[in-house]
Amino acid sequence: MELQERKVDRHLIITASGRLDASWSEFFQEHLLQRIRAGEHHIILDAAALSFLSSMGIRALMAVYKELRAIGGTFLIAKSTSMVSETLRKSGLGQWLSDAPLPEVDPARKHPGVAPVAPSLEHFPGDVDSGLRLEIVDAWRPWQPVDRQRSRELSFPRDGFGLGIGGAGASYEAARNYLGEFVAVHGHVAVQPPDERGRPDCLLSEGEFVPSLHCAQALFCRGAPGHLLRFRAADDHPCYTVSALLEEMFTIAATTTIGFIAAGEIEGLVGAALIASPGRLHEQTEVGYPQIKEWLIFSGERVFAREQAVIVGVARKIPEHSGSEENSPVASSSSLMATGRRSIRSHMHAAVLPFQMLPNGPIASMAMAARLFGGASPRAVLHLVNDDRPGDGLGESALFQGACWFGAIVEGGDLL
Amino acid sequence: MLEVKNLSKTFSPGTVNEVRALQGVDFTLAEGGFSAIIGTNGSGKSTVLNAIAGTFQPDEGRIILDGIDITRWPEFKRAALIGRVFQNPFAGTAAEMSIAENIVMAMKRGRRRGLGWAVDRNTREEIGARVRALKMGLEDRLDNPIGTLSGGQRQALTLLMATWLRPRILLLDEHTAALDPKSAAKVAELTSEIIARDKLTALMVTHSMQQAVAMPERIIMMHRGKIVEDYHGEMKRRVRIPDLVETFNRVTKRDLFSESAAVMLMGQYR
Repeated sequence: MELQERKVDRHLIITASGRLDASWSEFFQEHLLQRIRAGEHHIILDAAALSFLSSMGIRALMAVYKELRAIGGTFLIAKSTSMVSETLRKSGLGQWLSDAPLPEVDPARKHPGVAPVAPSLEHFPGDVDSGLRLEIVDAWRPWQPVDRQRSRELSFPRDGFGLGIGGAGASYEAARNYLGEFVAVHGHVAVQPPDERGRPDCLLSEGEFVPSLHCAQALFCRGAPGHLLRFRAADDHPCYTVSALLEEMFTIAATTTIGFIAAGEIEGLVGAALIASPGRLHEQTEVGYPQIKEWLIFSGERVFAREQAVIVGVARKIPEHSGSEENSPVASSSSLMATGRRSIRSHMHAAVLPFQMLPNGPIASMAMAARLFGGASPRAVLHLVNDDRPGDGLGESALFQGACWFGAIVEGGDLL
Repeated sequence: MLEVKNLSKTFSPGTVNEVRALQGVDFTLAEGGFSAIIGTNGSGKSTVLNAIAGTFQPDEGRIILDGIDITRWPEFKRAALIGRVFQNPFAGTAAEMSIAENIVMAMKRGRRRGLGWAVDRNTREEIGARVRALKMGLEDRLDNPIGTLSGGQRQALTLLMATWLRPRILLLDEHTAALDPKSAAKVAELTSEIIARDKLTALMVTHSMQQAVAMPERIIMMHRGKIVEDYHGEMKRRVRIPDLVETFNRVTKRDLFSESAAVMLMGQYR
């Protein structure tokens, strides 16, 4: 079997010659799924030279069709021979056949309101940009005991997103030994138990149930993110580091403090997670090296490549004229940490999920959350770090493609 | 029952080649229990077996077999209590001697052996019956030199010889690793059968996670001379190969948590 491709407007036309049978179906399916993953969501199979289609071939076509249908793409088979058309019709799959001529080069179709930023970035302004209100729980400063009086139970309704360290339980006392990193996205909460062997748990908003956690730390943004930025790796840009994405977000939002959600295919994550609950810390606890290994697990390498991350964070851009950020009040007292860019500080957690394609173009963050968290359970929740050690450093986390939803924090940002 | 208490051993101490092979290894094997030790290269799994067999003296710790402290016993003295099968199918048998003669030697293990090695009729019948149970067709070749057999056949016979006297503990050191897949499966099957039939206390070192999951009742995972995981009971029954891989990954990650990483992370937790 031979496959040739050409791009016409938004369509990828794949010409397949030869037999689509058991020998070739796996190759064919894998190739097309790769193209879908690379962002081709409208595929036309030019079947003029396809001489045979077996049941295994139909199974491969079905896999491609299902993947495209799930992300709002389209799949058509054009110019098929009578043998192929007949096989598909008899199998009840005649709806894939198209009599229309193959598309020719058309003027680029644009979504209404689309403002291209760069070849691999697309910005979609939202209908409403009322800003985000930040709620903070600040009851724990590593590696001191948790301040019981300042810890709070925080609920995570659908109209917000956030991150922090918390645990589920009827009371703080019940939760204190289970405080771990969490992300909350529109009523979907993934929380990492502070246990080396633990898999993240999920709390999903359902009916009147609103998930809540007892929090030692939390940064929760209420409101709808006003902007969407779609990004895709290109030849000149093999992946996007989190700070590169933040730089783009700051430029678009034209503000200094933002809350954001980023969902995308992982190039590599660098992070750590608690393996013992901060609720167990007491005045005499010493946490230096090597004791810290009893409290944290470090990714040690760039992890979870090709899986899906949902990163939630809060970030601040430090004005150039404020001097060194290490000396600024923001650096010394805030819960924001250094990123790969000197002028940006942030606090980010990532939930890792099995990879799922997101539809191209504008997609609501709420729809994304329902889609990603509604499927398989998360594999991990990590506190992302910027590993800038000279020589050994792993750098910062990066994504190949995906989407960022973000907005200006208009209330509570001064408390960061 | 085997009790291994706080066993430590450092090879070439104080030199550039210093290896802390065992660092406070502690476990108890119940009477009649079949356990496996798995771990990466250099994790100390074979060193544990050698310590039990008496190949070297530990720096610290004790080894107690059925209530007897054998820590300072020399290797030859322990041999009367311990059955052992090595990775190399050519170890543990005398190639020039016949199958029957090799087995007679094993039957006299731990006892004074004179020149009276003649195989009498009753012994021959017993040998024939137990070799037949291997289902390898070797019962008709009892007088053939053992060196003429394949690796799998020799390893099956080595296993039979090591367990002939129902040792207090059976040590299996990657005993199927050098065999072809079919022979390895056969020897693994025989191992499980013999251990279950004779209710032996057995400790098997293996690189095969498939064997670790399928054969024993307990899996002890070692890394850098320490026990890092001990799957037993319900936990062992639930464990699958991906769980073991994940545990290996997690354990390996700990090595990457250096002091410089700790300093970096301290600055990134607020």
